[in-house]
Amino acid sequence: MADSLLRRIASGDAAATRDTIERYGGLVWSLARRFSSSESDAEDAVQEIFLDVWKSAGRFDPSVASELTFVAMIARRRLIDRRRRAARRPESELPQDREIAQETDSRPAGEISEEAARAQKALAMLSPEQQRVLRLSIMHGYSHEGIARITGLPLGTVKTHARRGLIRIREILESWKVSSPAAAPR
Amino acid sequence: MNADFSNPSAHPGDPGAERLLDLLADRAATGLNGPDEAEMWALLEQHPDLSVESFDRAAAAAAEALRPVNDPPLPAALRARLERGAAAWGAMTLPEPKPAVVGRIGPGSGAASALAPSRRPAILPWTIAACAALAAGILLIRPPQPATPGGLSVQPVSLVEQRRKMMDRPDAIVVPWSIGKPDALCETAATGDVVWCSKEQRGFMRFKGLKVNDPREVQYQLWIFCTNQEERFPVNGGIFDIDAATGEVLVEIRPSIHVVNPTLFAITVEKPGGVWVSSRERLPLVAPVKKG
Repeated sequence: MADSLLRRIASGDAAATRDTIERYGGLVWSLARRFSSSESDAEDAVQEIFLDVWKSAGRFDPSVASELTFVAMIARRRLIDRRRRAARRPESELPQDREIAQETDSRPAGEISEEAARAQKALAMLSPEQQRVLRLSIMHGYSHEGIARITGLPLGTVKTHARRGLIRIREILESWKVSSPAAAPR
Repeated sequence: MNADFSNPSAHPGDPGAERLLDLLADRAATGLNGPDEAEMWALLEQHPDLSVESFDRAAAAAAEALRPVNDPPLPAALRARLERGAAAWGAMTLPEPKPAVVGRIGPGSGAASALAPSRRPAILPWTIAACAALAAGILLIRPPQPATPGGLSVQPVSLVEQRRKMMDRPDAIVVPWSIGKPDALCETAATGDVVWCSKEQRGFMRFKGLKVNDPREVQYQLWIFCTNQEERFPVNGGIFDIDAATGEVLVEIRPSIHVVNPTLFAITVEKPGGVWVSSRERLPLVAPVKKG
């Protein structure tokens, strides 16, 4: 298990701050550019996210989530807030479905956190249609209406897929935590 | 094998719980509007077995799992900027001036604080950095914040100066506080004002005469009434404490929900951690915005 950079930052280790960029920069950039309307917007978001990460280092609790998931949580929350503040940018500005369709090869389990590997297994149990809806929702931040427009699915189906998929992933992660507390990231 | 997730089994026959699950999932995926967020928190009070944190964690884990292998790396120029910011952050050894800071809700911290053990509203994605002034004046330092879109600034910034600059903006409004309902925590001669800039979605509250509260018993909470929210669901501006016995207190406002045409700022006194829907029984200060 990698050292906790966030714990090092919280204890005043200045070098760890820079190390977070190396370790989590790819993940944060990946999320930011999908949620953002332009590259410059994504770059601003990444900078805000890293400041959030550094400021929040003292709150990291490895018994609750892995560091990678903690950083992803901060990133996603910041990106959702930015998008809502940006006052409804047209979703036509978001990446096209053709682009999204190519996003099929996920990372091997060894390269992601234990929670993400569990989530990956849960996702694999979903139909391709459900997976597509979840990808548009979670990775790109599309609204239900936007997903319905892109996919041609009825709005009610989109809502069901997005909600039930995430609810299921959450159930699997929670049951894993309860049944295997020792497996929780350290 | 495809799973059928159309019927969550954890709360069969409980429409409130099923609605709450939907709201929690929507919030974690793409965020909620104000009324839905208020509804979610009201339902959470009735279903303490569910939590915002677990859904944020699930969404984060799913995002990590869905990230494609062929994603482009962090651009070199951005990486260089981040590294400069990291170096500045690491070099900054100034401790937070404890006497000046009386309360804070982490900026954009729904995720950041979602790992905290408590379900207090204080850990929601609202931002208030509250700074108290000492007798010499209203000084105020807040932790490093991103200053400009183009770069990282990690220097402590004076809130007094920022407030002054905001007051110079033609689109900023300045609204004085007036007594709402007489309250033991508020002197009858309490004064102060709100400076608000809708374009920046940010503002400052200045108080004199709002008394020191014991955060174990009660906390102050800001509400912003605006034209994009129903009157019964004003924007929840977050909680703060007053721990400076003398002088003025300056509190930064950074609501996470977009505020359109604010009509009233109000301070209520609530239980520790704040509330999602206020009874408005203790309403020491209000700042109505005059039209036109």
